[in-house]
Order: sequence, then C-alpha cells, then structure tokens
Amino acid sequence: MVRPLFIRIGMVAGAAMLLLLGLSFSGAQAAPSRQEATPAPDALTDQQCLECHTQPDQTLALPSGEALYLTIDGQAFADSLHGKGNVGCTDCHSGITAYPHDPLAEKNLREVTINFSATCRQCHSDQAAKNLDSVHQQTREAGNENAAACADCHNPHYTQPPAEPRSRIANTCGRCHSDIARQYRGSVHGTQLTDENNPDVPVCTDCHGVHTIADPRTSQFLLKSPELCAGCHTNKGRMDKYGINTDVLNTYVADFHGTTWTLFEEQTPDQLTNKPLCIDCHGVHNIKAVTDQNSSVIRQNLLTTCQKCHPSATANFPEAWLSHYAPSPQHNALVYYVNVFYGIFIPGVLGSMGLFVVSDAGRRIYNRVKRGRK
Amino acid sequence: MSASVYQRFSLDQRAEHALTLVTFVVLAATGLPQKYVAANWADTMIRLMGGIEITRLIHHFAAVLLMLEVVYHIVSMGYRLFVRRVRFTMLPGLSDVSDAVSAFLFNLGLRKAPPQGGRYTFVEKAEYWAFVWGAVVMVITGFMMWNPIATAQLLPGQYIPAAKAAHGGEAVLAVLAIILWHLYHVHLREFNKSMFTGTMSEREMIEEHPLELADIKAGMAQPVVLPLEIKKRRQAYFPVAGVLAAVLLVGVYRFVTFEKTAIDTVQRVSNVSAYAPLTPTPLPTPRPSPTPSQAQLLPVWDGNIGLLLGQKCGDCHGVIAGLDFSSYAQAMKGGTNGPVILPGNPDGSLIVEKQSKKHPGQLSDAELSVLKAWIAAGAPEK
Repeated sequence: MVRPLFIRIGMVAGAAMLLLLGLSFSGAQAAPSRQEATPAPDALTDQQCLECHTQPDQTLALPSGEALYLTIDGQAFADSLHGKGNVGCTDCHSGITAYPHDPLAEKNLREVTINFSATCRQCHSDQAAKNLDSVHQQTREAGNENAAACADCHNPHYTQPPAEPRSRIANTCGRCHSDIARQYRGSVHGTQLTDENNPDVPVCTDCHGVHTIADPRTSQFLLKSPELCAGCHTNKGRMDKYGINTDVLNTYVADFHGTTWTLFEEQTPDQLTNKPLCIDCHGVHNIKAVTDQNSSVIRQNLLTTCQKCHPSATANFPEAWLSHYAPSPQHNALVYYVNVFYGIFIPGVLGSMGLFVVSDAGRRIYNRVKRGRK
Repeated sequence: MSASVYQRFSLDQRAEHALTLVTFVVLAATGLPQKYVAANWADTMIRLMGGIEITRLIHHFAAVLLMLEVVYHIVSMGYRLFVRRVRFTMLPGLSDVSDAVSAFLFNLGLRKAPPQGGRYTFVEKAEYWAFVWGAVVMVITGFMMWNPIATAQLLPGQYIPAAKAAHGGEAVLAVLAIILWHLYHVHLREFNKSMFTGTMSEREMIEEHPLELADIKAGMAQPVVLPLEIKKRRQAYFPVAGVLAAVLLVGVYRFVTFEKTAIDTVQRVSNVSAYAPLTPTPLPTPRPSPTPSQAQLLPVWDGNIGLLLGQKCGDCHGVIAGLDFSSYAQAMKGGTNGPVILPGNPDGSLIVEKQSKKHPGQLSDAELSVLKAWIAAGAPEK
C-alpha cells in the first residue's frame, strides 16, 4: 500500500505548494527583478539546501519509475543567470520551507518539468504570456506532454543567456527537434552558423519566433513565410556581401506564382494555395545555396523540382520560370523585347488614335462655334 | 418616317455585339486586376469577385464564351460572303488610308470636305481589324498560359512568360483603344444606337455612310441573288461550315482541356518528424545503480539491507544527523542521536520509528517489514 500513502503525501505537499504559490502571487512580482523580501526566520538558506543537494548522483525515484536527478552543481548554479541574480532555491522551490521536506508530488519527470512553468511565470510573466498562444502550449493543452515547457529550453539551475553564442539556439531547439536541427546544420544557413558563427544567417528563432512560436503547418504561417525569407533577402546591406540578388521578392511577385501568393496572403490567409512559396522550390531547413550542386533550384535539378507540382513537365518547362531575373537583354530577352514592343506599340497606336480623335473633336467644336456665331 | 430608316445590322449581328460587349467587359474586369495586382483597386475588385481563383475561373469562362462567339462569327461571315455573296465591305484597302489622311487634314482645316464614308468607314474598319488582331494575340497567348506544359513541349519555356507579357500588353491596348476610339466615335461624337436598334435614320446615313446610302438608293448595295442559287450554295456551304465549325469547336474544347498543369494540393509537410528528442538527453541523468529487488530482499546487510538503505537513505544521510549508511560499521554506529539500529529490538530502533512515520526516502511496507525482520534477527552483516 505504498502508492496511496505517497499520493496522500503528494496531495498535502501540492496543497501546501498551491497555498504558497497563491501567497507569492499576491506579492505580485511581474519583472525578473526580485524584490528584497525579508526571509522568514525559519526559511531555508541556499547553503542548507546545497548541503544535501551537492552530493553526487542523488536521485529520487518517481512513481513512474523514472529517476529525478537531485544533484546540483553549486558552482555552476552560482555562475548561472539565476545564481548571479540572487535567485535562491526556495524562490522557485517555494513549497519547501523546512528540513526534512516532502518529496515532489509529481508522478513523472514530464510533470515535474511542466508544473514548474507556473513557478517561472511568477517572475517571467511577459515570456509566459507570449507563450500562451504558442504551438508548444497548444500542443500540451491538447494532451501531448512532450511539447516544450519553460525548463525544457531554459535549464533553471544553470541558465545562461539563451542566445550567446547564437548557435546555442539551434542546439536548444535541436534537443527535441533533432531531425530538423540536423537538416538545418547541413543547410547554407546552418553551415554558416556553426562554421563561421555568421551573424547574418537565421537561427531557428529568427523565423519561428521565441516564446510566441506559431504552428508552422498552418496556412497563416505558410502564407507569411515568403515575407520571412524576404525580411533578410531583400536587405541589400545584408545580401550584397554575398552577392545575393535582392530582387527575389519583386521577381517572384511579378510571376504568376508570386502574384497568386500575394492575393492569398492578403485576402484569404486561412486558405492555402497550390502555387509555390519560396520553401516549395528552395526547401525549408535543408535550404542550399543556389550554386550548390545539390540545390533543388540549380539548373540540373530544376525540372525535378518543377515536377513536384507539374508532374508532366518536360525539359523546356523550367525556363518558363524567369529564375528571379527581371527581364533584360541578357536574361529572359524574349520577355524583355515583348515588353519593349508593347512599350512602343501601345503609345504609338493610342497616340495616333488620340491625335485623330482630338482633331475630329476640335473640328466639330470649331464648326459648332462658327455656326453659333452666324 | 419608315422610309427614312435603313437596316444596318441584323438581329444575329446585334446579338454577337451584345455577347462580345459583355465578355469583353468581363475579361477586362477579371484580367486587368491580375495584371495590376499590387494596386488597391485591383485588390478590391478581386476581393469583390470572391478571390483570385474565382476571378480566374470567370476570366476563363468569359474567354471561352468569346471564343465561341468568334467561331460563330467566322461561320456566319462565311455564310454571308459565300452563300449570300454579300460584298466584303469590311475589307480594308488603300482608300481607307487615304480617307484617314484626308479626314485628318479636313479636321485641321487643310481640306475643304471630309471623305465620304461607305458601308464601313475607315474608323469602323480600324476598330474591327484591331479587334481581329487582338483576338488572335489573346487566343494564342491565352492558350500558352492555359497550357504551359504543352507549349513548352514545342517551344522554349520562355515563350510562356513572354505570352503573359503580350497578353497583358495587348489587354491594356485593347481596353484603352476601346475607351478612346470606340467610345469617342460611337458614343461621344454622336450616340450611334444602330448596334442596338439595328437601324439608322437617313440623316445619320448621310452623315456617316453617304456612299452606302447612294448605293442603296441606286439598288446596288447588295448583289441580286436568285433563291435557287442560294439553295445550291447552301448545299455546298453547310457541309464545309459544319466541318469548319466542328474543327473550331474541338479547338476550343482542347484549349480548355488540353492539360492538367499542376497538382491541386501541394504537400508541405516536412519529410522529417518534428519531434525527435535527442537520446541520451544532454540534461544530467543519473548513473544506473543496482536496486535490490524487493522480491529477493533478504534480511542480511550485504547486498540487501545495505544497498536498500544506501539508496533510500544515503541521499541525505552521510551528512544529515551524522548518520552514514555507506558501511555496516557506520550504520551500526548510528548518528548524533545515538544508534538507530538496535539488533534484536526492531520496535525500539529509531530507524523503524522514523520509517513508520512520514520521512523523506520512505521505505515501502514490504521493505520496512524485511528491515524489521533483519533487526529482529540481530541485524547480521552476512
């Protein structure tokens, strides 16, 4: 009859925790800057906690059979953002007020991680509020407990500035999204990040956001995605160093595909179009430089890429796409000269017509005036 | 009154005009917003029409209607020209050029009199043949855009965007020419209603088509035809017209159904799984430690009680209360409050007392009873 006893203990501990949480909420700490609260006379000091919790390889067997690691590296904690910010053990572990203390009421490791999010919210309310609509939060609320909670990305005991160095971000996301992270690391963006620590390439959060991470499978996100790409790829300052064309968005929008995209994005963002977005030809996390032999859009691979949507396309077909070149005598000359022709033909025809119409109207007005005088 | 009214357009010609008018306006209204998609007015119009896909559908539908009208026009013109032997008054000639020049010079006051118009003046011929030119360009370029894969099988791929450029350029030209030329000559200069009423007054005829009026009055406007000859020519023309119409209609049908250009739904789900946690997790994980199986827990210290207490109590004790369960000797020595294990006296042992209440590192009921049995048996080491 172990379990009922444990549950009873858990319920008592949980109730105590909730009570304390409520009390600390009434203290209303919104910002991560802590108010200097006078410690209760019998409050535990960090040193008292660490006396036990620095011992190596301590674990707590949770009812699920998983082991919760209880050992804290005191020095690493002191060097962490929380340690430097004088956040004490019982600020977060507010249910623990004296020794000996009850074990955690949580039944498994996921519950421990998820439940502590409520504790994070006490100081980091802005980030917690942003997270409310995120795909992680929504997925968890839908019943998938694997979705990330605060402590999955930010180890509370050893937390360091999350974006220093920037490659830390890809590693953090990669802990759960390892397949995607692997693709990303092989991409033109990821290689530049890991090899050169290039500040110009995007990391996960540049496209997906930080706490407000939206579901990237929705039509809203997909239809917004060309703007995400364009955010950097139309920026001359950023692209000129690499000799990358910044006309990519204009030329895409000028084409049938991009024209359709702008309309869908503006008018029916909840409806997907079968016209390709940047990612459909270039790839997403695995995106390659257009000069890379493995790029999906390099000439020798382009037909295969077109055939994803145009299964019966043949060899000449890819040239129907102007490859992000504005028509000029050098690139897409036929289109250029058609435009030149109409650039002359339209004003030529309309000019002659206009000249005649004006002369005819003038003559009629003249005749009428003359008649009126007589 | 009736004597001074002249038939100008037959009912079917007026119906053709009405159909052309409607489809042209619809094509312009659905096509130009696609060309000028960035403009606010274009966005509003496409919204009002129910989105770009519906706008394109309407554009295609109107295009098919107009193509069918062109087919009808070709067949009926054939009938007029070959069966009824109507004079091909729409045929342009050098006289039209000289008419245009002299009309212009007259307007400038450099000629005494304006040119005399026949059944179709140079103004009307210019518009008709401009429309023919426009229709040819629009049908060819429209086909290329509607069937880009088929086009690229015969021509370089670049013909497709070139067709789009030409289609757009031609559309702008057509709409502006209609506004400038047609609107001025037929509506502004004088509202010419003959395309709706089918008739013209004598005054209008004198003004616009004096040469035709003269021909009518002289009975020379149209050739005299005998009913019998018409019957014979009909018999010859109808099979030809039937074949021609069939070929053209099949052409229109193929135009619409030639190819399925693209798939309807693009797969955008990544080929990699979104959730793929790293194993082993980079978070600290405990090293595996031997856990005595409860089923085999024996009342001896070595490999049994010693392991159990080491695991359940050792996390804290070793520091707290001076207690240490890391060895038999240390365990029997006890802590700052004296010994916790009294061999032979389980109920008097502090460890049993503590474990019978709530304590961190709680032993299970089964473990506790083995512990008690071990103490009762004198707490043997081996």
